This record gives sequence, structure tokens and C-alpha cells, in this order.
Amino acid sequence: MSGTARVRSVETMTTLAKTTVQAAVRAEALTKTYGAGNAAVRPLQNLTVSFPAGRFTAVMGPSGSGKSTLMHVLAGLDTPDGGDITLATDRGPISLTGLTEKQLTRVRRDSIGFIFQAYNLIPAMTAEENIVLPSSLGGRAQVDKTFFRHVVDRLGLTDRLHHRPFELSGGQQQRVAVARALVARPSVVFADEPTGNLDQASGAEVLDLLRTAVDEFGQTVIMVTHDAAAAAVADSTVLLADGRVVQTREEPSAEELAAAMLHAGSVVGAPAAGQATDGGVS
Amino acid sequence: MIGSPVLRTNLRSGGKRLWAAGAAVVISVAFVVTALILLGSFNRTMEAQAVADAEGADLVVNAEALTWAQNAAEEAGTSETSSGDRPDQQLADAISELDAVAEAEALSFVFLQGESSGVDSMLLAGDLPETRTMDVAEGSLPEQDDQILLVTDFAEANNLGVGDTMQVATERFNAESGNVEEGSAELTVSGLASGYHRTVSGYVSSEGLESLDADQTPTSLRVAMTGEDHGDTQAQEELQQQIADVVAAMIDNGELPTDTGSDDDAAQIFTQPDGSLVVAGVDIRTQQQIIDAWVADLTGQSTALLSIGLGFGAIAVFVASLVISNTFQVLVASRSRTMALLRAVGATAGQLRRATVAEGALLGVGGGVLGVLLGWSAAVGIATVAQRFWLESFSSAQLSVLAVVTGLLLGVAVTVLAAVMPALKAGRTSPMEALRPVEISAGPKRIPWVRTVLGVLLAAGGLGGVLLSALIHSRCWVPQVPSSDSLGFCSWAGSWFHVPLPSWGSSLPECRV
Ligand SMILES: Nc1ncnc2c1ncn2[C@@H]1O[C@H](COP(=O)(O)OP(=O)(O)OP(=O)(O)O)[C@@H](O)[C@H]1O
Ligand SMILES: [Mg+2]
Repeated sequence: MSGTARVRSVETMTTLAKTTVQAAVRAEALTKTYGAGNAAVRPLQNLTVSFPAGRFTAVMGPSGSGKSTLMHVLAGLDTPDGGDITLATDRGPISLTGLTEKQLTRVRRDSIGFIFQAYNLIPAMTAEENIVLPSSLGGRAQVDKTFFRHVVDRLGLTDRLHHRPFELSGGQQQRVAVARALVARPSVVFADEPTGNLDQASGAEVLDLLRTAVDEFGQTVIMVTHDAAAAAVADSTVLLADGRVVQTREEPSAEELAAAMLHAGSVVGAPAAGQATDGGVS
Repeated sequence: MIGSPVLRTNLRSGGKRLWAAGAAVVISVAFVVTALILLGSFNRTMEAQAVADAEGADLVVNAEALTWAQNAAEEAGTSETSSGDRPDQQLADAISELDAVAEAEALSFVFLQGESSGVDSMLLAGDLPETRTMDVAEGSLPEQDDQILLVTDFAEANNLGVGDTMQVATERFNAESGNVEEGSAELTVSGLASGYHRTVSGYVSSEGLESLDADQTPTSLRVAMTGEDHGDTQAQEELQQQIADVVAAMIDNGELPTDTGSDDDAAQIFTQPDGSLVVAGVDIRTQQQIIDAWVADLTGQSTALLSIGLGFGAIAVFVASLVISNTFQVLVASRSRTMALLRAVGATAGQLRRATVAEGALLGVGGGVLGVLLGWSAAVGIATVAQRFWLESFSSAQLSVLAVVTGLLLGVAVTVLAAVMPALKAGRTSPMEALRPVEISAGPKRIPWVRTVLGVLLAAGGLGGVLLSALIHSRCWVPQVPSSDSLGFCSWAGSWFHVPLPSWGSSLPECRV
């Protein structure tokens, strides 16, 4: 699978490289601290990063490097202690910092899709209800029926729409979560280890779907992963360590990434100097 | 709101817990609805009884004030009339002179201490009123002086039938010696009178009443009008004015005793808010006015009934609100992950709050509707039982707008109020909670048990308290003049609580305190 995905992504890249790529999300000098004094943990330390629109970006880094925290903060689920986040939506750029809780909720509903590692679905709702949830919560416009059919069909969920989550396999559940994130056509889809709980085949399927969303629907996808092979499906990879961006790689191979991860692991705790590039892809 | 996906989710995931809370709503609403419907039946019964009792009389004059005034005058030694003359009788004679009057009779009763079924019992015997058509169920009217027509309810309660004889003790106050002289008499039951009888349990002919060696207590004058005027409201009102003038004139002439002595204002006529006229404490009421007055009087009893019903209802509502609020707390706690996920995908805090309150409101509407139906059925059942075992004329249970509206509002109010706190808590759910690992602790499972036991104990204590107070009250509901119906109510209220009260009489001394 990874082979076909690679080929497609290379083609996409060559076309995109010729146009100026807009940033879908840009974060500036983000800081986040848990606790205080000696016990303080700083998952985000003056982190600056930008993710291009219409592309598939992977985020990698050692455990505890702040990947999940970054996703939560960028997706408006959590608030940073400092810094700025700008989200490019189809209604113009929105700065997430300084929004009220209610405004932030609206942004999540209308402009952001999120796929968690597990427990993505409301148990009391059918697959279909879960998929259209953001719009049934009062989101803008009704779900585009043809797009819905298309996505559901592409995800192989057509005959599973009226099942409850507990009647679905883990892989099917995760596909429903992907469908929910895609159907609303958000400005960005964040995925935090979406394949972490899945077996090889199901994981590959989900990755393939995300790849397709980027290629076919022009969706922006940002995905945290520990798996170098999974990251290799993305167009580029941002490497985090110690709450900072240490490196950004375009079109890395799985082997390259594995090596970089080993290195990143060794520099955890050290200043992110050396061959690390600036945080940002533009 | 019904279309809200949050509410849909809540209802689907509520499951059995919601059923339990719903049952609590149903029961508490049913209590209150039953009480309200039975109150309606009770009041209609009272009304029907008052109508039956007033039937035949165009006007009723309350003569008690005259008796009190005469007694006071005799004690003060200023009496101008001889003690043998009854002022109510004199007034009746004067009223009879009026053109429009066909008949004016002064009624009175005597206290008789009887013995029946081994229980000392009290019997109030009155003159057989000529203005009322007696509905004789069995036997005949009293023709001999020693015959008595018993009210059916009384006869049944004391196992007496036509032809039975009863020994009664009499008492007469001798004004000269200042002693109470005791006597006795034997009365034979000539017949049984059905229907409602407000003041007395039996009727004796006027001569019979005279022949008893007992003090007569005047009650009222019944006035029937002639021919076409009989039953005509306007004619009744005209005669009412004339009678007031007669009373005023007699007082002015010193023919009737007054409390106020020779005061110039003594004979002034006052109009009361209900339209009745009062002269020197003598009330003159038309048929409708006396019915209303009696109903108002009897409503005191139904208010007691209502307060028991509402007391039970209040406890039921209280317990229900605890159960519901607890249910909602548990529900919200158990849903915290789902709530957080909803928040994460874009549900606002307000949506979660509203959905929780709406869930409560729906439960309240559903429980309210079922509660109204259940309460109605219970009231129909109780009314049927009351008709069979207590009072045949007890009015059937009818669903009233008041009962329906109160039941529904109560159901919704209780559930909505109970859901408010949990709703606020639901609104405070942070989307980040959806991202935490699955709960590690399952929570203390024992606490709900403790709460349930505590709740049951509290409820049992409360019910016991209400029962006790109802019992105490049931001995005090008897109005000033004890009568068959108040006894009936007394013992009926007793049987309601499975407390056997003596069938008649023995509890009266306490009741009359
Ligand atoms: N709610 C919290 N309270 C305190 N510390 C926290 C909290 N959430 C995260 N942290 C800390 O912040 C740091 C970054 O956590 P984060 O979950 O972002 O790491 P991660 O890169 O996603 O790791 P992993 O790969 O294991 O998922 C960690 O040291 C973690 O212990
Ligand atoms: Mg993580």
C-alpha cells in the first residue's frame, strides 16, 4: 500500500511545488506549562510551526515531546499559555487565541476535524449519526449528500451506517471517525495517532483514506504518529523534541525518518541546535 | 429541541435509570392528582348534600342568636319574656303572618344519650320538618310520640332497623334548682330516612319532642313560600327583606331578646357579602345563600382532606426530586466522556445544558401524563369504594382541568428543577476530558445504596408523621354540632388510615374540644 501512496504523493508534490502553498495553520511562539516550580512540565516551549494547506503533514517526536499537546492547542481543544495560532478558514483567517469558549467551540464545529487514537464515537449514536454529528449540532449548511455518499462509499461504510459503534470493529470505528472528520469539509483535520490502536491492515487503510482525502478533496491533514512508515505516507514530516520543532523534512523515506527519530531521541533534553532546521514549512 | 442530537443521545443512553426516575415522577404526580380529584368529588358531594338539605325551604333563618340572647337575659335577670316562651317560635309565628309565607317552622333538636351495641352513643333528634319532603326508605314517618325516624346511615352504623326500640337517657336543666335532671325514654324506630341530613340523626314529631324530658336546642327556622313564589329567587329576596324588617320591629318592640339590650342600633339590618341579611345576630338567608354557607362550612373538612392528600403528595414529590436529581447526577457523571466528545466536535456548553434540562422536561411531561392517568384511576377506585362502604351519594371522581394542569406542571417543575444542577455540571464539561485515558477508578459503588436506604427511611418517617397528624386531626374534624355526616367523615378518615374508630359517639367528647 505504501508504494502506491508514495507514487501518488510524489505526483501531488510536483504540482503543488509550483504554486505558492498557503499555510492552513500557523502557530507562533506557543508555550504551554503544566504545574509550577520544580514540578513544572513544559510540553510547548516557544514553538513556532506552520502547516501548508491542502497537504498531508506528519508530526513525529519522542514520547512526551508535546505532540498531543500541540494538536490539542492547534485544534482549539486546549488553550496555550502564550503565543498565537492562526487558522485559515474559508471565511478568512481566524486567530484562535483570544476567542471565547463559545467562539472556539464554533470554530471546532465548523472548521476543524479531529481523529483521536480511540473512543472517537458517541456510543448511543449510529455510524451515520456520528458522521454527521458536527453539522447536526448546528454547524453551517447541511452535509453535502453526494459528498457524504462519496466519502462513506470510499471508506466502505455504506452497509454499516445504521450500526452502533459497539457493533463495529476497531478499524471500522476508526473509519467512521475519519468520515466524521472529512464529511464536514473542515479547514484542517487533526489526527493524533489515528492508527495507534489498529492492526497493520486497518492502520494502512486509515492512512490510505487520509492520503486520498488530501489528494482527491484537497483536504489539509496533520497527523501525529510514532510509525515512520506511516509518516512516510505524508508529504512532509515535522519532528518535535522537548516542546520545540527540531526538523522538517520533505518527502522523507521511512528509513530516513527512523534514523532521524533515533537522533531526535538522543537530543531530547539538549538544545535543539546542530542540523535541526527552523520550525516551519513554507 | 427534540431534534437536538445531544438530547437524542441522552435519552438513548439514559436507559433504566430514566425509567426509575420516571416512576418516581409518576407516583408523586399521581398522589397529588388523586387528592385534587377526590377533593372535587368531596365538594360536589357536599354541594349535593347541602342542596338536598335546603330543599323545600325558600329561606332559612338562624335562630341560635336569639336563644343565646335569651339565656344571657335570663341569667342577668332582665328577661321580659317568660322562660317558657321560645323566641324562635315567636319569630316563626310572626313570619307566618306574612302574605307570601306558606309555612314558617322553628326547628330544634335534643341530645339523647343512647345505648347500642354496648357502646354509649349520642343521638341528636330533631323535629320532623314539614317543609322538607322526607325520603322514607323503609317504614313510615313517626306518628306516635314515642316513634323516631332514623337517618339510614345512623341506623346502619348502629344496627337498628324498623320496629327496633332504643333506650335513651335525657337531660333537662332546671333553672330554679340549678340542677340537671336526668330522665329516660324508650323510642321505637318507625322508619328510615335516606338522603342527607345536616344536623340530626333522627326525627321525632313536634309533640314527641315536647314529651321528651330534655332541653330543646333551637337551630333554625325554615320558611316556605306560597304558590308561585315558591322557589323564585326574586320573591325569596323580597321576603328576606320583609323578614329582616319583622325581626327589627320585634326587637324594637322588645318582643325578641337581644344581646345588646336596649341599644338603639340593635335592630339595624346589615347586608353581608353573600347577600344574606343580619339583624342582631339573626342570619336570614335565601335557599342559595344557605347552600353556599353550608358548603363553605363543610369545605373546612375537605380542606383537611386536601391537606392530607397534598401532604402525601409533598413527601412523594420530595422523594421523587431526590431520586430524580440523584439519577441525573449519576447520568451526567456516567456520560462525562460522551459529553466531552460532543464538546470536542462542536457542541456548546449551552447545548449540553439545554439538552439535560430538556431531558428532565420530557421525563416530567411523560411522567406527568402517566401520573395524571394513574391518579385519575386511583381516584375513581377510591370514590367507588367510598360509594360502596361509606356514603352512597359520594360523587364520582371526575378529571378536572385543575388536576390535569397541576399534575403536568408539577411533573415538569420537579424534573426540570432536579435537572438544573446536573445540567450546569454537564455544561462545565471540558472537551479535554474526552482525551483522557479511560477512567481508572469505577467509583464508589456503595454510596447509592446508602442514599437509597436513607431516602427510604426519611420517606417512611415522613409518612408516619403525616399519618399521625392525620389521625389527630381526624378526631377534630367534627363541626360544632355533631351530626351523622361528620361522624361518618370522622370514621371514614379513620378507616382511610386503617385505624378503627368507634362507630359512633364515643370519640365525640374529644372531637368537641
Ligand atoms: N494534563 C496534563 N497535566 C500535566 N502534565 C501533562 C498533561 N498533559 C500532558 N502533560 C505532560 O506534557 C508533556 C507532553 O505530553 P504530550 O501528551 O503532548 O506528549 P506526546 O508527545 O503526545 O507523547 P506520546 O507520544 O507519549 O503521546 C508530557 O511530559 C506530559 O506528561
Ligand atoms: Mg500523544
